[in-house]
Amino acid sequence: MTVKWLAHPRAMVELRALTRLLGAWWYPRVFQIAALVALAFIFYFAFTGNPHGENNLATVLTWRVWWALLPLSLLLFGKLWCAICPLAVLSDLTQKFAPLRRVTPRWLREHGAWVMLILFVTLSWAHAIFDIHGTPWLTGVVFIALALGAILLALRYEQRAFCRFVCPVGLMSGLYAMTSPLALRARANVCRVQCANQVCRASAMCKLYEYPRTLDSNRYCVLCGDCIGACPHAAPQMVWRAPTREISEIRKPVFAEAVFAILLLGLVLTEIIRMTPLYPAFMQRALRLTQIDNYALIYTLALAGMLNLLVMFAFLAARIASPNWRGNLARFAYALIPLALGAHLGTNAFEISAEGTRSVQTIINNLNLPLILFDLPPKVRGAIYTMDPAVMTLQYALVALGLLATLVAVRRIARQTQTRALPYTAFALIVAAFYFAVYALPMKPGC
Amino acid sequence: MKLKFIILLTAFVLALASCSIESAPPDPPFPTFVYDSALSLKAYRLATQMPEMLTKLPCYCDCGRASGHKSLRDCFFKADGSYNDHASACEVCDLEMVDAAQWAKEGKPIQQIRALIDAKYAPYGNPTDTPLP
Repeated sequence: MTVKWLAHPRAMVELRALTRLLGAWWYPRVFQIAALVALAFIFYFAFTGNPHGENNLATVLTWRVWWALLPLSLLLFGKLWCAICPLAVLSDLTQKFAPLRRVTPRWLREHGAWVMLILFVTLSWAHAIFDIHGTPWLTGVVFIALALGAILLALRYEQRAFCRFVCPVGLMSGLYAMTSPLALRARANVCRVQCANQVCRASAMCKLYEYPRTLDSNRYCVLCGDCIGACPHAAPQMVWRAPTREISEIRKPVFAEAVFAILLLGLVLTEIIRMTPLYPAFMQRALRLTQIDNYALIYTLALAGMLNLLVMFAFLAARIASPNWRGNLARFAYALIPLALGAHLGTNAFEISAEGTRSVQTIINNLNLPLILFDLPPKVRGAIYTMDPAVMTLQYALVALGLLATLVAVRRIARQTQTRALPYTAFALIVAAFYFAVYALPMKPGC
Repeated sequence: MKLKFIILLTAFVLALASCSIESAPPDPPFPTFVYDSALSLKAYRLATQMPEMLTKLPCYCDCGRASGHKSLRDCFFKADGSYNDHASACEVCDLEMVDAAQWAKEGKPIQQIRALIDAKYAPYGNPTDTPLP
């Protein structure tokens, strides 16, 4: 059935069965319990399991399964993961037992995206410097820090302040979720005609500070289903829409999110380079040339340099495109998200093809289950870079699709804002050319 | 305000990164794969300084089964004395090397270093068949 929507004027297809599912009493509880159990296992194995990262359930489940599959789940289902995330459950449980809370401070609401950006970039940097993915106890420490953050903020502030304004994964999840064909939106005609009491606003029922009636973005909606259950008029519905369309229809662009979209391009590119022989060759030359005998410092400077270059070029594109460069950039940078997502999916496709079966069997072995799904021959280590033509084709296809979606979004935004699309088109093409170039190199798993 | 914050943050990150600055003798001509990580570079540097000690230490990364290694030395060097790329992608070998070098620096005898390595790394996996010193 096709209906007209209040928040989104364009037609979307209602998914009633899915809406019913999200409104069911057991949703998302069953999944939350499973995620909590998984978190308990991660804590247990991080500090008591095999200290070798590639044989430990905590590191394998976190980095090779969850982290590898997260971007795909965000593309397919939006921020559904955030609805079942065990940290969010800890936050909710804390508030159940300690109900005295303050209103979230204005500075956090206004600058939350910057906090998330800084935490994500810091975590990405620390991931490379401290080998978090290969060190179970460090993985445990990261989760303890996140869990403490979620609990402390839940004790002090109302709703899910941690998820909305602090969680380092939340910002990336929100931006990637904009590309999803699935979304939760309120029926325009129902809200306008039937609803007088605005129950979804009056009770501050949305844990993510949203007002379901005007919800027009996947960035903050975690598909928890609370508004579906609370609305007496069945206005919130799951809908199917054109993937990535939301990007060109965004109404409230946030500058920090726009900067993060640009940084994501660089962080993904760094991750890809780190999996190729280009990375040790670069580090060798950089250490020799600079005569700085500090690997971590050289890596930090190189990463900062690359991210700065990207941001500067994006700023330059914005200045060329419009005199109001800041507002212009805030609008256009979202268009870069599909390109970053395409490259991110390509990287993870390689990780999963190289280590997927080993990861599944490692988890089974850690749990002492009498089950052999995959035969695990002893791992031969070394500078073993491989080129799988099937995976490479997939990587190229994903980047090409991402680029296409980016260019379409740039064109649409340029038409709406009546500014020039060329600077951003050129910027996206240059970044995509880098992705294509590094995907042509042999790779080895990064995690 | 924002600019000040960004400058402070950058300074903090650089300070944190530079905490591991060490004065080291000039590197021998290492192959490129040695530069795969900070830990790998550190371990190959130490292995180059004390290759003989490594023949008396087992490796616990399962390389005895996977690659036919006889001791930790085989993870860093091939039979002809050239560098082996194995340890560049194996944090267990690298960590063992760093620990062994630290204990050697503290003046511990090789028998004690072997015992300490066996005690610390046994949970990691199967050791190579390395005779006791």
